[in-house]
Amino acid sequence: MSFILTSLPGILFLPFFILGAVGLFSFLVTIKKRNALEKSFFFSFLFMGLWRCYYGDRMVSSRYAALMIYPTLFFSAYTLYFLCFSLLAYLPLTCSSKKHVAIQSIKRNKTICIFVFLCLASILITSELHKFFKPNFQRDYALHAAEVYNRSKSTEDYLYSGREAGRIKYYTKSEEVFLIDNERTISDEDFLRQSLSLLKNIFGKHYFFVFQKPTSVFSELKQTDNGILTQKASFFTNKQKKSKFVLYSFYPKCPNIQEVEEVSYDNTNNLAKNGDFESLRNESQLTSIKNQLTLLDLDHYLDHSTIPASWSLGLIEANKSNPPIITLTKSNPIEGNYSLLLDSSDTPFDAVTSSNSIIVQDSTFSLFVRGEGKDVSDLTVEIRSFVPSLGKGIAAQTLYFKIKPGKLYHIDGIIHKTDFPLSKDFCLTLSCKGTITVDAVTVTPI
Amino acid sequence: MDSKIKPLIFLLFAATFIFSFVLKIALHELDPTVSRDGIGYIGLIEGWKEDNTLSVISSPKMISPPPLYLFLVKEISSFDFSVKNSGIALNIILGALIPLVLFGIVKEITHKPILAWCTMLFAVSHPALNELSIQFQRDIAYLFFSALMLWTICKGINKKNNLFFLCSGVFAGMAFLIRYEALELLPIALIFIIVAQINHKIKIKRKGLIYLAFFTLSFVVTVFLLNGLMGTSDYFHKSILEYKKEKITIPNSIQ
Repeated sequence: MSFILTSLPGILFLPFFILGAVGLFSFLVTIKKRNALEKSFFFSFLFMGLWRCYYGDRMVSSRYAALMIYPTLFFSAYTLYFLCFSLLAYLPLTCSSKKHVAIQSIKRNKTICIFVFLCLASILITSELHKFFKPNFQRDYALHAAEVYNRSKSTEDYLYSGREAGRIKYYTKSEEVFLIDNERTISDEDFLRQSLSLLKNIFGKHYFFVFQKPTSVFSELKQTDNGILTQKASFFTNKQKKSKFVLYSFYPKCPNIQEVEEVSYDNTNNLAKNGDFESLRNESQLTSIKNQLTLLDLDHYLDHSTIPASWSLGLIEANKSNPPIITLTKSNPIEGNYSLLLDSSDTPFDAVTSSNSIIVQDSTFSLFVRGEGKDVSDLTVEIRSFVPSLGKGIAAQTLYFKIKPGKLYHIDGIIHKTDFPLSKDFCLTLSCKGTITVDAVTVTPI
Repeated sequence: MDSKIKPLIFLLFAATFIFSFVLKIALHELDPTVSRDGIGYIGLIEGWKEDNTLSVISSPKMISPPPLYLFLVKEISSFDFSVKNSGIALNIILGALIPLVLFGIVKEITHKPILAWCTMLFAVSHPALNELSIQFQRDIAYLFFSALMLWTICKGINKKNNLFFLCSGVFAGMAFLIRYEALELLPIALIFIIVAQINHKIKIKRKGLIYLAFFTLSFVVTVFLLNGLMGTSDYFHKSILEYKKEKITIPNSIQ
């Protein structure tokens, strides 16, 4: 029923909706006098309305009721047509002869009726054209926001948009626009707040195209430890000015990652065992891992992979046809004899590895990462802990990075004991989409 | 009909079409923004032109759109028009034709030409019809073929001619290949035939069944034939499979 009241007047146009309802009622009252086709049209209209009311909750757009425009137009025209003729019957005529009166009456009524409809149609068309001139909102806001972006863009940009991702991609001609939360479970505003924390270590400029209430204020986000947020453009999207489409640019400060030329680290007091990846697994450790790989149908994985000691592999059964490469490599190590190579460029899954368990305490972590191959790689560094009461692992800290090929980076951060209220230990997990080499992983107590 | 009136009526139809066409062009110039769905269709059509196959949408929430509208736009764009302009042009032309078809429907139902003209005037000025005509959406094409289906079925009942029921089934099939909601045209056709039979508009017993058979047969044949011509015979099956696909969940790692 709510579908009739909320969606139908929009698509059918309210005056036609009301006139159509009147026409429908008059048809119902005079149904016995109607011919077969008029009755068919009437019952078809009822059928159209009834099944749409039944599925009303699932109809996300009023366009699903577009077919009802036809019977609505018919009933509206019918109502006005007979109203005209009924009212015109009271107007006097000049002829004296009854026959001439009848003919003149019909001709006059038809002419006036057409004239009335022409006037109504003209009013409708004029009002429709008029609404386009000097509106107090920007009708094609996505186009204008994209134009502002195109004027200020540089080579290293990331575009994010909620509902307008498709249009932004089309108007900016960008290769990629990151579509965020198409299911609309969070508002664009909340998405913006969360994103600034997640993107703080991604080099480059981030452009957000978001819907925002006019009263929203992001002053607290403008200059934070994460970076600098600037509003580039803002457009009202409707006549009531209840929504704005805003273009923000965010320049992250990258507090956890720096590009470096060489490796320099202190391996003393390193809580992450084999953080320098110089130790290989011994026979008994290899036997255990072989059994697990056999269960996953990955028997031959160790034929081309050298597994470091004290580090686990993130492999699952779905990987069996095309597993990511997680192996120690001797060719061009970052430091020492070996470095850890994570390569998932040819598979849909990330290459994941985790350190051994480390007792929870205040500490700092550090690692060196080099991008390999031709493309930028995505790296996620997580500080994870297993919570026995929940029966699953939880990430206390998650950092996202983009690693350019051929560049060496130093990644570091702080781990607080208070981040693990329910766990006694944690591990450092590296997840890579692309190809990177990792070395010199340290977790040092403060 | 009077030989003097026929050219006048033709002139009025032409004037209505031209006016409606120009109005829609003007409205499009004032609001040229491409709709969100339209962006998706442009992507699908451009992909179809490149790969020679229409790909299905990977989404658990949405079934892929039927192929006929995309095919028509693809064919128009093969004449060196951009996909976007082809879609808009097709919608504007079909949108300008809809009032003329509505005239036919109302004339067949009521036999009152003036009422039919009035309905046509309302259709030219209807805001939703005009807005749908200037957007890159499937709705106008679906409304156009649905209107043709309604017109031919009314004509068929009045003239008692099987050919109109055949045509009606064809148009219903084409509407179905543009929007799946057009399946409602099948029960609507049934309503028309049953009411006509009950009201003795169809005087011969069981003639209604024959009309229904012609309609249904032409509907089914049209759907299969057009799918074959467009090269999308397995498209519907693939889009259902994609829609029902389960998401893959990743379990814990090896220690």
